Amino acid sequence: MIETPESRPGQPDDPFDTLFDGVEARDRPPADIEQQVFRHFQQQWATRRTARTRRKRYTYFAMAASVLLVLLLQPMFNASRDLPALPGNLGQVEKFAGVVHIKESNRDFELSADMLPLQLSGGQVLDSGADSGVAIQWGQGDKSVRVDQNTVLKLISLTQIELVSGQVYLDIPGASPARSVGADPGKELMVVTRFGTVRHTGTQFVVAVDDEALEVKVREGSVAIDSGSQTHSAQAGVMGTLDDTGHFSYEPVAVYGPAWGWAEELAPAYEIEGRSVMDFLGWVQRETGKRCVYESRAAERLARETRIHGASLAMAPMQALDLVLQTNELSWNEQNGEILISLEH
Amino acid sequence: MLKKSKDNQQVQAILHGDEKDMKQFFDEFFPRIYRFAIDRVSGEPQVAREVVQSTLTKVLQNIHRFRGESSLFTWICSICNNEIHDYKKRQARFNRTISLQGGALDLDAITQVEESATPDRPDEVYDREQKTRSIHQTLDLLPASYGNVIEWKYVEGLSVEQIAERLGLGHSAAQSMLYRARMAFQALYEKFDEQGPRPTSIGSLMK
Repeated sequence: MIETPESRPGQPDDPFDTLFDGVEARDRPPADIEQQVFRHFQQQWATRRTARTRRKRYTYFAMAASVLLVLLLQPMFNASRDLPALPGNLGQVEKFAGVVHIKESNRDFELSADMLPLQLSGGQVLDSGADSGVAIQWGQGDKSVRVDQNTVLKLISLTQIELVSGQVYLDIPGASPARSVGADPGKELMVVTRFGTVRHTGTQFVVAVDDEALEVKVREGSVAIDSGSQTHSAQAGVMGTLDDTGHFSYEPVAVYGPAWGWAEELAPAYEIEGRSVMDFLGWVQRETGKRCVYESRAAERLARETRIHGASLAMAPMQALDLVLQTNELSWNEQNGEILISLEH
Repeated sequence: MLKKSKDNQQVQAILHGDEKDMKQFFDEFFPRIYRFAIDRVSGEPQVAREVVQSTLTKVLQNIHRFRGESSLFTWICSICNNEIHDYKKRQARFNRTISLQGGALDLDAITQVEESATPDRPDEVYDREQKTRSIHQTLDLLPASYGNVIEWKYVEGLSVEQIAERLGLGHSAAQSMLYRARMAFQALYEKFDEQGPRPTSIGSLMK
């Protein structure tokens, strides 16, 4: 309690001196974190300022712009509407959490464990509630589409899904990062949104949509974002944002960490029987975005030569890592996005 | 009243101002929000960074809706609280233990981590920590300039002349600011004291 509020600073027996005796200064945020957050804030602010300026300018031409907009957007809407809703098998639900509704033209049902693995077909709409999510094995191969909570996703065809709101993570192993932005647009899986279409030319990324913008975070490879007549590309470690005025901006993004946690949690079970520890570490690396590094050649050799036996690992990758390495003579440490694998001493 | 007027100025500055206004806004709120967050995310700097970053994005998205029903800092803290809550929910989902199919291994037994017992501490150490925490939280609730001058004077031991120099003000202006800062600190700290050492919400302090 400060007993004499009227006393002036510097006077003898200043109660503030007594109160603050032994009190240390407040911690300053680390400089690197302050810098990162500031860059992000600055970029977001600039994007919004540009959008506001543009909106003001457009107000003067509202009528003409509306007509023009309708004309410009018509082909996009048509393109979306005209897409054939293929009835065939697009993939299957491998895993889900929480409440997920699947809507069809004449029915709406809630996903339950006894339906797995559930075949999915064109025309269906997945709608995930809070704290929910779905992992889909896409097509016949090993592509994975993961749907976060509070997301609405329309399944259109083997090569197109439409993200209405929320976010999805795509993992498409084996795609060549060297492919050009314009290559194979008809064969690759594309994410259609009302802001533009996201095509992968690499392999792992998240697409998110809200009322104001489309965001694409790229973990590996690169993606192309088609918006009207323009195509933008974003590389690994970059987040691209396309706002409702058509403005596109970039900023760096971590390829691992909590922002990707929801997709990691939806990782399908890993079949360990007969696999080497090195294969397993490759899976951990892919699912977490963290690089596995061997401390020594001996550790690398042991990881290559050790085979794992047992049931499938239906757990988050880092938990699985902890578990698997306890069964052999390897240990791990994590620092700054790197998982260091070493021989146990 | 003055606080509300300053808050409104800050809202207008971030909505319609230039780069300098944006930087001032960031400098005013970032360190305080960061400290607010890090206390609530087990001291993990990268988690605090993520939470604060998303908080500031939400602030930019929604600041035009700020109606001055609480202070701007309280409003930002409530957004930050939501972000922390969302983060924790995501983490809880992420960390949920799923047992191995076939039950070949007892995962719980393997991954069980024994929590280390909190060592006994003398009461005075505990009291000092509580007092420091209360003072830090009160300083963070003040406008940044007030919190800073009090900290410079009573923690760093700067003279009024040195504070004036740091702020680019004259001696009497610095003296006056320090006086106002002390009054504001006193009013808040006493509220804090009445409500116990750890208030559950910032809003309860500001009402």
